[in-house]
Amino acid sequence: MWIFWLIAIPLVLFALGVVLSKNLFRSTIYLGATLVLTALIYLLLHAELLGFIQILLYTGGVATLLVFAIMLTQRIVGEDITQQSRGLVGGAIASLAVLLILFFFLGSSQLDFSVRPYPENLNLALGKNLFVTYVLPFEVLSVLLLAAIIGAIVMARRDR
Amino acid sequence: MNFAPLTLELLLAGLILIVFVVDLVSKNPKVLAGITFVGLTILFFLNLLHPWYGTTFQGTFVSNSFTGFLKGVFLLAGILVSLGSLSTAEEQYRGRVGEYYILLLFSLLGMLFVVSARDLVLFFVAFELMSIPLYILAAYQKDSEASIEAGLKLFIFGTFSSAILVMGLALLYGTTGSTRFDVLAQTLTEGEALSVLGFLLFLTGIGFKVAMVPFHMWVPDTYAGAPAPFVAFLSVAPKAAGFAILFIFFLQVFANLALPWKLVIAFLSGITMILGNLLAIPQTHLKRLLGYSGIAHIGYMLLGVAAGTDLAIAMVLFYFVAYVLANIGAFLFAETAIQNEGTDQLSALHGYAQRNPLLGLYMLIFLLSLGGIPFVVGFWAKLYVFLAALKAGYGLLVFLAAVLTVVALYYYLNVARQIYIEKPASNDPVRVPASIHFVLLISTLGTVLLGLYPKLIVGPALEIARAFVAGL
Repeated sequence: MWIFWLIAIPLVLFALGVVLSKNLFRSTIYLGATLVLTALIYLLLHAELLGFIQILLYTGGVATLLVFAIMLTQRIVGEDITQQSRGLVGGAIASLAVLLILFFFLGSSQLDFSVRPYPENLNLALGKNLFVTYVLPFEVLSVLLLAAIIGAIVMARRDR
Repeated sequence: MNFAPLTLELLLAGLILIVFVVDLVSKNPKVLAGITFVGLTILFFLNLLHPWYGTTFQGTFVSNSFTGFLKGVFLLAGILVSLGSLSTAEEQYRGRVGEYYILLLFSLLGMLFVVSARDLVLFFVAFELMSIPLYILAAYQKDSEASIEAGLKLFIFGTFSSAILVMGLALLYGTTGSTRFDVLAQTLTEGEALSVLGFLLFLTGIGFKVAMVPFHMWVPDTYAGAPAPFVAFLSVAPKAAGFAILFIFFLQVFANLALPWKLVIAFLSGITMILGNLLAIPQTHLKRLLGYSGIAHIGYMLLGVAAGTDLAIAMVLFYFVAYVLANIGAFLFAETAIQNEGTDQLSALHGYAQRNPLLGLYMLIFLLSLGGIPFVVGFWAKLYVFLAALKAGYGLLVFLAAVLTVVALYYYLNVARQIYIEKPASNDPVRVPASIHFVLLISTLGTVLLGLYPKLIVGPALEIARAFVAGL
């Protein structure tokens, strides 16, 4: 249990840092830390695969891309981009409300929250799920990615 | 593996590839729009004449008369909008017309999948395939700040609501351990608190998408800022998909979850009708007015969802058809006004009927249909939905809806007054591009024809709704 708190408290602090920091670059670094700590929570729940995917995709991919994006835009725009946090009071109230709702529903839940063991051959189970059970969503997902790429190019490209 | 039920989707994916390849060879907007229009028309009639009913991928993809009807509605909207966008594309989207049509078709493909999905994962992926191209298309007029703002608003609200939705779906999966709708329907029974939370999050997420009050605040700015032919699509097709999702989830997935969802929907329907209609009255711009009136129509259709009977489902299906024809027509009229006057302000429409009598007549018919005047299709749509709700015991709500329909007539006829009675500022003829003219003609003919002979749709819709309820 103490390990959880050891992860959870810095996680919340870093998450607050993402929102409250005026410096966009720092926000990104905090975001990276938040994502790594979330991954640790997954590991704590014995969801090893999810934990490592989280680190690989979000910290390695998304956070790194964000850092690059900020650096490049700052060079193009020529000035530091600052982040403004307006409506802090409203945001705090809304977050608190969401927290209370979650507590209420989690508290009155009768589900069994004990950690269940992974299938013995994880790779086999994963492959079967990905390419047999969920093969159709998997294929539709690739179409979705194509649509998103085309959209991003259209938006970013200069008109000829 | 049986791929037959997927035929329509595969053909549409093929059409996307064709447009993609042709775009490499010819950048001519007319060619691209033509291929999209012809391709979608062929798909529409194939779907009508030879629907591929069946179930495949272990029951996670279903094609039946219910999904077939909805796919017909989506394709109809796609057909009308692909042609209606041509003149805008020629003038403003030079060099990226191909991508415009490709994104439009991707969104359509998402809609086709989303109504057939009977599995949470497929459902969500299809839902995103439907939504993401819409964000880009809303911001497609890159030199217009309003369009960029519209796209950004749609994007932020859209992704935020998707996040809420996926959280809800995750909770449903978490409480049952299955992503399949049929399993969910059997296991989501007792009052497990997290299933209730999942239901609430689902309702919120979809609420944003179909723009029911209190999740409607993105609508006015998005409709006012985004290019009008695209708004014509946005205001009908994704909404129809959203309602289909509501039907499938409420009647199948949540069927055994003892929740007073009908009361919740009835309440939301009431406030959606009231707010949409009242806020439409003071509007001075046509697109914004149509945005609020669209919210009001969502309220009327929610009345049918609250009723939840096979009769009500049939009437909501019929309502889609009426709404697609009239709303696309009205938005394309707005586009014509924007192309001629540079604005969609109501005062700019003065004397439009004198400057172009045919255009004025088209718009009058769309307005009458939206307002629900007898002998155009909108009247029957409203009447039937109200009757179905009355039979289900929502007397008070139907009374409210009837009163609000009279209120709505005020602002619809106010637009008609600007077009017909006010003196025109100039006597220049109003130029209507041939492509838009053709779409306006089809929409008008459909509105009048179905107004005179609503049985054409009502009959099949009733059968489909009965089969849908029986097959749950």
